Amino acid sequence: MAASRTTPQKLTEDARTTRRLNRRPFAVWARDLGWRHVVGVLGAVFAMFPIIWIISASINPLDSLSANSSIIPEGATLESYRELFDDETLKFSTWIWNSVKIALIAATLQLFMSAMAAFSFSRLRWKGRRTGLLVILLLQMFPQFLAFIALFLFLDQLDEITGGGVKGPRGLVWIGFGIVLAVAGWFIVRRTLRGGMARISGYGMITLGLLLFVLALMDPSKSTVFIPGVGLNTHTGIILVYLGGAIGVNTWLIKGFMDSIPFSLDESARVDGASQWDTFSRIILPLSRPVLAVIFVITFVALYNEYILASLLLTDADQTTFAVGLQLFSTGQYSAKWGQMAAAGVLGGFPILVVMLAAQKNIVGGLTAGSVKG
Amino acid sequence: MATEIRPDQDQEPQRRTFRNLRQWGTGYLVKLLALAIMNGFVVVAIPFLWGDSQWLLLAALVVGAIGINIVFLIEAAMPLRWLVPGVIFLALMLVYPLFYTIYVSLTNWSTGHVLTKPQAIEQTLRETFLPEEPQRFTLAYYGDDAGELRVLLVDESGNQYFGEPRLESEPVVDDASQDPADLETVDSDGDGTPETIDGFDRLNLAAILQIPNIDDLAFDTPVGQAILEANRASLKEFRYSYDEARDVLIDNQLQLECPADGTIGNFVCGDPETGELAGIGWRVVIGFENFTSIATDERVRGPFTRVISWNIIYAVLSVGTQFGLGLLLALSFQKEKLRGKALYRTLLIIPWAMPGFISIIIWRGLLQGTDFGPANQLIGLFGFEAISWLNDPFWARVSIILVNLWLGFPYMFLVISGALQAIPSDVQEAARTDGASGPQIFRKVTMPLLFISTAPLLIASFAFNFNNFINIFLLTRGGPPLVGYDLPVGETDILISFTYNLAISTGRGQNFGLASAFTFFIFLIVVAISAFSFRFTRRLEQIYGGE
Repeated sequence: MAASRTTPQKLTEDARTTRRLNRRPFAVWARDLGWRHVVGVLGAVFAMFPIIWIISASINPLDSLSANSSIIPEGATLESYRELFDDETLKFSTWIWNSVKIALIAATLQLFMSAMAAFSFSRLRWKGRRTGLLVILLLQMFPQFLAFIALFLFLDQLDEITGGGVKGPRGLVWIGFGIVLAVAGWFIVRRTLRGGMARISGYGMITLGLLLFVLALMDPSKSTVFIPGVGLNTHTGIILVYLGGAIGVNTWLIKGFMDSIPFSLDESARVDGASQWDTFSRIILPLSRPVLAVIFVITFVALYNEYILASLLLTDADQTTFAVGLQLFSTGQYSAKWGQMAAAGVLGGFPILVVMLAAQKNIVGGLTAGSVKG
Repeated sequence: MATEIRPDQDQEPQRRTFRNLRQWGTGYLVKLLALAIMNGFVVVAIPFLWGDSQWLLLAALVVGAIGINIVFLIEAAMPLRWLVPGVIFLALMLVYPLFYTIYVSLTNWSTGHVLTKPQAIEQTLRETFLPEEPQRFTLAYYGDDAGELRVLLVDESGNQYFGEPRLESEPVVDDASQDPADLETVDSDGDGTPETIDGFDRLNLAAILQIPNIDDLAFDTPVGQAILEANRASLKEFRYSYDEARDVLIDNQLQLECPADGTIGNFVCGDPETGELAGIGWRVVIGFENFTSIATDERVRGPFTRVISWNIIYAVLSVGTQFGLGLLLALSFQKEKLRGKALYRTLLIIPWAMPGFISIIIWRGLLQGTDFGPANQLIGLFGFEAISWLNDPFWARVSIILVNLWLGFPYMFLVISGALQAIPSDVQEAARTDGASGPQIFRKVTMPLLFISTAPLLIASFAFNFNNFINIFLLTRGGPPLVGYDLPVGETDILISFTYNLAISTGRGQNFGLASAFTFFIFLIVVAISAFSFRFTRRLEQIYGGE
């Protein structure tokens, strides 16, 4: 009993002595690690201050800007978040929907065009390939928004030319679509083997096409816009404008990645009878998925954040994006409603924040590689 | 697309003739059909663009269409097909607008000169005036229970016009007038003026006096616009007529002849130098006038030089502060064993991940308000006096740099951390064995290597911040305003925000021509930065060509 009591005590004392001997003086710790923590804490406070403030303001019941109240204000409430969807003047859900819709469509199309161009630059050999790459590099030095005056005037004129879209009986579209579908189905049936899935779907297309044709013929009178207008205050207009940025630095990045896919894959595919399109869509695209995913995220976020063109081309409060709408709201007559502003910022910003943090490693790695290699 | 013709290099492609039509293949037919549809659209668009004098766009469209036809019909051009979708939009939405900006900078396109000449003439000819001896109508008012108003106008020869009046300020309604003879009328007392027309009853004097806006009503008859007075109406006449052969506008009210002046885009009455302008102006090419006014006109040059010098300071300070803070943080976290390193990192890069426009609006909320703003309350805790962050010229600039530092330092931190890790440690060790001290190694070895690997990024960052519109615009809108200039310009305006305000601001009219001339200077600066960047990277490649 006594022995067992003394041994641990002795051990502890030994440990204490060694620790005391090993412990560095405070000055050494401060010089080696301490200052790093000081810098880190100060930097983190600087970085987090606005973020914490916006969360705090969004749950503050007083619509107040005050920094005096504690981080979790007295009587914290989610009222501001509820008002966000009830308040008619702050068209929060409309703006978010517009932003997401425009960014999603434009980013997808941009990615696709960029990948196609990159495929040509990486896999095919043609005269002027190097020049083409260089021209892209030069052109992307000019950010698209620099031409904002011309784009504004251009869309204004397109508005006049297209006249708010082609209006007409919607039935006509369905009749046309039905014919096209049936003819396409007939071609497929003619060219495929009996009993194959392709042939069955061909018959399906014929049936569906004829059905549409007949149904549309019965009531072709409904008048509506079937080709949306291109112009100011139209989503089609701004999406087309954004597509102007499809070919650029992203093409270089995708091309760089595609170059690392072994060429023997394409060759064996060609021997097996694959067309260029097959090689692109079934081999190169799936293998490029990592770089495509990262570029999609970057493009989507960049378009979601785009302000200057959106503010010029979408001036109507119902058509505009979240970036423009939030600024309108924050400077308008409702600028005192900081609770709602903060709630809108949290809801509209934090999903992007999470995505960016998750993709952070890939994005920064890819961007620096691209920018350093130029 | 899936069934497209294959470029079989081994096989001689079969010539397509009408005789082997059946073997042309679906994909080829679909392609032909698509090309035909596209060509159809282009052909339809040509007369529109021709009539609208859109020469640049017309040329681009025709060249583009021919190019697409070539690329899709000639087998040798196969690889270019992959570029077509992207290049179309690149040409239409980036290259064309860049050139169009330069074209606009050579015009007087601005408020008052927005329309083309035919449009301007058409609008001018719509202007009316009330002559001294106008044609008169007798006037009767009608109304129904719902408060709808109708008027009946009868001229001297007995023609009757019935319909709904409009406010004078509202646009002309083409078919507002109906003939009462076509409608159900009741004239019980037989005085020639019906008591009821189409369900509307004639109003008595008391009811007439209660009509809102009774002094500002007008009515559009097929013979012209009539101004309604208490009991009669007067026909307005068109103020201008246009003599197309002589290109002269005739002012019917003042009896003046106003020839068109194509150099300024206006009709000028009387003496070409001093005469009054008549009607609406149109846009014309005025050559380099916008550029010469930037160079020589003190009212334009003054703001321009102020804006450009602040723009350079802004870009340099932004890159400098971001790089400095990023470097400090990167050096601090270079230590392998630092507790909480991952947490620090995550917290530090949050400003980079947050959408910029939201962050800037939050910052404006923090900084605004003289006494009660959160930022002022915070510094008040340390005993400092409240600062007018966004309204004082000096502090507005400090705010902008501060916010831009917040937005930009995380990216620099990430990049510098990566670059520091990539510096081979044997170089530093070699320096240490040669007896160099810690600071010496940092100054003479680490920093130069770091600069070399991050230089292209610093140039890119400079170019980005030079045109970092959103930070300025959302935080201060370029303000506080500079007084004493005709142009809308503020203390913190950079070139792009200044141009934006000049082109779009509603207060002082839109001046697209001059704004485009300023944009041209931005183009020049971008070209200069790019050229520098290219030369620089090439030199680096020569030094480190072995990589």
